[in-house]
Amino acid sequence: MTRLSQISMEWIQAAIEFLSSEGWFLILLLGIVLVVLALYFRYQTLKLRHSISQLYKINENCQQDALEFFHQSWPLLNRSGCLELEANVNWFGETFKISKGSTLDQTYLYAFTASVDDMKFKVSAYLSYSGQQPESIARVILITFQHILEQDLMLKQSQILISQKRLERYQLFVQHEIKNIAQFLQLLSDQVQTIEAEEACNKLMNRLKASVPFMAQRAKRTLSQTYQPSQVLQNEWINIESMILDIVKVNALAAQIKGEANVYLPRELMLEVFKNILNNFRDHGSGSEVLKIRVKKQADELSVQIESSEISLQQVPIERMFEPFWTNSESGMGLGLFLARELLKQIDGSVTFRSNTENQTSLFEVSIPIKDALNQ
Amino acid sequence: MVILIVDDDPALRSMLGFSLESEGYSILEAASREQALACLSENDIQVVVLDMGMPPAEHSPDEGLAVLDWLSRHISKIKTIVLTGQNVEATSYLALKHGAFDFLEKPVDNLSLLQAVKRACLFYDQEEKLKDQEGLHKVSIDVSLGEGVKHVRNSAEEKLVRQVLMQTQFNVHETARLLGLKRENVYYLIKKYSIDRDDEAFSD
Repeated sequence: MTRLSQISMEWIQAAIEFLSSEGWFLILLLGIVLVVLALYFRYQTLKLRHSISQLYKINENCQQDALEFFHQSWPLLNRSGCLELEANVNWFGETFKISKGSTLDQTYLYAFTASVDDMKFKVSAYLSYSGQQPESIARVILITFQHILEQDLMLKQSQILISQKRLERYQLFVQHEIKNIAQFLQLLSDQVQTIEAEEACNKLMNRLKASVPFMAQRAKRTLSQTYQPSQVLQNEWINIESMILDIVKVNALAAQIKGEANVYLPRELMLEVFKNILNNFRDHGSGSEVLKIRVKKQADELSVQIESSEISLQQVPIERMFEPFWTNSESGMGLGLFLARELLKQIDGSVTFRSNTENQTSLFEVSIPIKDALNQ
Repeated sequence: MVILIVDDDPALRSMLGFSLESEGYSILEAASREQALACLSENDIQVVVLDMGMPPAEHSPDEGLAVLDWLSRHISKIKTIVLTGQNVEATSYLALKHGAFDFLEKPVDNLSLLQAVKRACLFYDQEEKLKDQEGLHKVSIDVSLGEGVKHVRNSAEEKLVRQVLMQTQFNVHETARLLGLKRENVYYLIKKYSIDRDDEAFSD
């Protein structure tokens, strides 16, 4: 025991001697400072990361709307060290001022202007004294805020341009169709008023027999672009094969249909879906192709496959086929396939497109789950 | 008088055809630019009633303008009445620039259509009379004044040579006779303006 005590005492003495040396204290002190600093920076980094992700989240919640984003960001900016935020705004010709917070203290001013066409934000932000440091959290968050605001304005501008183009395209389409229909009716009306001789009446009647169906089809096509299917999805018995055959006939297409199915589904919706899909073959096909259509009803699913060997459809980028208002045709609106997919979503159905480069075929497949007990 | 109706809508072609046939005109129909050019190359046509927007570009005047350009290069004596539903201000300017005789906006009534066709036929007839009775050929050219007189002279010369070659179905001897030139001079002009027989007959 005595020996053990002696050894312990020696150790303790040695430790005291070592600790009492000047160099060790400095190393220890430096270590503590470094650890504290590391913890501080880690805390600041986490705080910054959290604030920036919060800013993006706010922007997402207000659907990238610049004005809404400006209002909703204020509490976060305030918490981050922004004492006052002011903006002189010009919003499509309307000018107004937005003020958030207030300060009488000596503060640091951070100013910027975000402007795109008819939208302009002239922003002044007053930061606490520490905010004047370039690396301060308040300043970094404010710079992020500025960038998001600028992005929102650019997004708004591009949305406006896209909407304008869509409207122009829609207007052109409707104008073209309606003017042709109006021209037909104008000439017909003039003829009906002036024509008297029986022979001329017969000639006119013969012409009308051949031409009126085309005009009726044109009118239907125009109407279908503005048609909104009823929100009430009333189920009824439909023979899918005969429904598809009717659409094929109206569009002057050729098709071989295999299989048949009687299903209890919303007729109007199903009609729109198949019209929108088959119209593609009318607008993009050669006119001489015979489509292969397979209808299959299983226990819990209806499947319809429409196969084409037209190259033109294979050349369309698949990822853009269902995008609204996207088309590679001058005469179409680019809405058909988008509408078909949206309508099918209402009954939990789907439509997909596959292209087989080996045998040069393209395939649309419509799948609809059959839930109603009557269908079983 | 033979009138060619160029419109992609078969129902509209039919009604326009009926209106004009009722007034005693002979009618030919074309549904596209290609059909129109084939029809113009194969038939003796005096007036064209032309829709500007046809597939594949139904909403732009490109297809109609291509027909007008072809006519202006090959058979400039034909009178073209543009009948379109496109933007009046922009399309009428383009139609005039590319050699249209008249412009009608859809929907047009029967009387206005017939008056325009009658006027076009009258002008066609009178120009033919001028040619027969006084040997006067109408040559219309578009020139920028700043480019000088030599450019104007060359444009007129080229247009006239093309026109007469087309009229004589590329018969150089007959062309030289009509123009009062030697055959060598006609060959020189054909080479100078790079006039190709096949191009003249079939190009668009």
